[in-house]
Amino acid sequence: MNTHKQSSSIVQCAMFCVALVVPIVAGGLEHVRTQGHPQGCSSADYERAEYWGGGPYIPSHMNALPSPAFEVVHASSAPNPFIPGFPSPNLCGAPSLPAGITNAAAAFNSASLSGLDAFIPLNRQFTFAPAPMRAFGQDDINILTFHEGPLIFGGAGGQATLAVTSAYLDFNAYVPEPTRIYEADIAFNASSITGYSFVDADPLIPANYNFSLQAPVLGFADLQGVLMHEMGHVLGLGHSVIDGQSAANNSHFPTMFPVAQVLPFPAQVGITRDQFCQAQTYQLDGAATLDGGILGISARTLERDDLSAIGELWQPPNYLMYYGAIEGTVREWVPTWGMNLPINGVVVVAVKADNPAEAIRVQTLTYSYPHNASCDQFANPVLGRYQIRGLTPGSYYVYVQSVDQDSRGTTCNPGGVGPPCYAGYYSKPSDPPNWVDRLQLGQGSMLTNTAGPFPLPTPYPTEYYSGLGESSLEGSQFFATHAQAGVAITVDAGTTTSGIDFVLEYNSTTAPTLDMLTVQTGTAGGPGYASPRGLAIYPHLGSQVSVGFTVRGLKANQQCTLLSGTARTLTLIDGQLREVANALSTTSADATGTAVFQLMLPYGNLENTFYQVGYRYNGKNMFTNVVNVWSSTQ
Amino acid sequence: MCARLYVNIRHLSLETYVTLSTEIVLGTVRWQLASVLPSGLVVTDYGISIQECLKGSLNDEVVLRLYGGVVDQYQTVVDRAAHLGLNSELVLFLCPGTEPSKRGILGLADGAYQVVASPTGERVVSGLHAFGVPLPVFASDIGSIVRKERK
Repeated sequence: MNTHKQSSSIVQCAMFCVALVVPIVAGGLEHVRTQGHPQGCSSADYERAEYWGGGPYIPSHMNALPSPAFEVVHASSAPNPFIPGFPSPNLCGAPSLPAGITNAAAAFNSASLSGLDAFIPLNRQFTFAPAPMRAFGQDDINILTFHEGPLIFGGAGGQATLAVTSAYLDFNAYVPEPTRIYEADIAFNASSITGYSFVDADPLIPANYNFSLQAPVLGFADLQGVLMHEMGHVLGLGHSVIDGQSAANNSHFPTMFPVAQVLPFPAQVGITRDQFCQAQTYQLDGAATLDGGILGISARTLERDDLSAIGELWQPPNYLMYYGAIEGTVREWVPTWGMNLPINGVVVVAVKADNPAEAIRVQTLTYSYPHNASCDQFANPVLGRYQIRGLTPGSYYVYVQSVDQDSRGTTCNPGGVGPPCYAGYYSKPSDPPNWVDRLQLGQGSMLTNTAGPFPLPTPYPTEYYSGLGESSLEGSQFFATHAQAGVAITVDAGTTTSGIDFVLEYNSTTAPTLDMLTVQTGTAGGPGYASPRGLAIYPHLGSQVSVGFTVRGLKANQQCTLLSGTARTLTLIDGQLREVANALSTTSADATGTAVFQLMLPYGNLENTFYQVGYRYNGKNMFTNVVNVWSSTQ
Repeated sequence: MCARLYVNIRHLSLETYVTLSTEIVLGTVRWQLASVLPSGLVVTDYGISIQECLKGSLNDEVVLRLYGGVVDQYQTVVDRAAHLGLNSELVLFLCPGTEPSKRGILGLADGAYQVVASPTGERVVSGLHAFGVPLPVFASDIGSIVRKERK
């Protein structure tokens, strides 16, 4: 690896760019058709969408919505007789807005986003103000609307959709990327009778503002968290493609994760408004809904992945001096070619090594172009290239997220025709549906390689960078499936560490994997939420919970030990880094390489406990993935 | 004008999909036609010839109206949109559309299951809750949930 100083984000182009295939310009700019006309590169400011997996879309023009002002309207069909011009009875409190809206604006408008990073002041000031009803669509006015009925959502997912943001984009003539968002509209799906009901403020405080007069079927959603996600789109962020494997209590999912996370939500009394704008008490009971909880609260907090994306898009002065970057390429073995070929569309993640408990993770996708690509780089793409930027100085592990084997059907096609391919979280059909956070990559960021369309020869498990000598034939128990076997990379401020190149393990069996499979309580109320990532326990289930752990992929009769800990910190033990330290019990795998641990856990000890299985292989300590148990009281 | 729609979606269980869907059909995409709404957003209508109704009742054809598409200089790109290729066969979970005579797809891509031939020639279904599941098995699963609903 090597490092070099980052260059300015402004590039001067002198060569030809690729032709723009989307002949669209609007919003007061000159209308230019560029299809089929290779243009000389003379534009100075554009960027590639490397950080946010929704496709090659990131506007970079610094004048985009400098102060995004939103009119908050409610598109209910029911007129409000008390506030002329306001069609909805649910904003009776106008002009004061629900706290969730003002809180979300405050979070983005603060001088230092979330207080996490003093060097990322957001120079965008969101404002929200009540207004008469306006239409959802391009009219040079940004709106935030609570929409009932299928007029908007009938074409955008129906009741399964929480909210939608429509961003209207400019292009310029010279680069194949949008350059500016000139308008954005946000619509919340307020069809709460059959869908979701948005609640305001902290759900643990019985003073909620509810936008529905009836109990929702699916579940409750947090107004502030969902709005912060949508505001990220307004700023130009796509969806994060980072995994959530270390997300105890879901607290470390990026705000821009594409699927809202659910947390159990105990019954409480909230406040709503009737048709006469009178406050009424209202029973809020997440457990009574199909989702069993409230969605989106974790999105209230911007994670490092969000912050790095925002910082890259809206770079404050001297930003590049304070942050570092990691770059490299990802390759895979293609049998028909007999060689390793670069692959685009896989997810690469950097995780802070010195404080993994904080789950500082930043992701990107492999593309053919670097961030802030010059026209020369556009003309000479490097397939499989990735760059992870906006990293605070320190030590990082870097890994390629697993590629979903189940997406490798015969028709999965990266070219945009046919079913999409998937990458990211290694989901399985057996996962509980509400926890299948499979990542569907948008067109343009789908998996592809130079050997043609899918299927590729094999799915790939998560693989950590393990230093020079990466190959496609490292063997299932030698390549680094976990951080402990990886090589930490030092990132310095203002520099880019290059040469972090991956060769994905070919035709491997997945390394031993720990799953939490069974939960038995013997009391009413259900088992809580179980998933490969972990388990959330309802507080009212009783004093003890029986939990089963299963490890697959060991060697026959191999001894292994279940470990636990209450904090996920890397510790050096026996010369190996361990994420979880306390040994609970040891057993042997059966003839198929499967081992089972059954524990009876007292409820009081459940909060944020981490479990992992360790085993020895060729004289080395090896470890499975970590699963988490947390209490729903968190 | 170009617009990009980001959809904040929730993965739902198969049971919930069946419950919330107004109709569930096995059909083939026969035609598509894009148009521009007064809002500037592009919608595309898809004509689906129905082979079998797994839930609800529809005639031989149902028309879907979904955001997304290209008309001249207008383009709307929808995150998580379902892929409805011409002549492709799908199992579709439908919901009320933007106008009464047309339907939407519940959960966009999550509510559209591709039906393809397996290497052995068997028709299999692939989507959110089914990966290579034989079509009769998937249809039977849906039927079981529908019958359970009626009780």
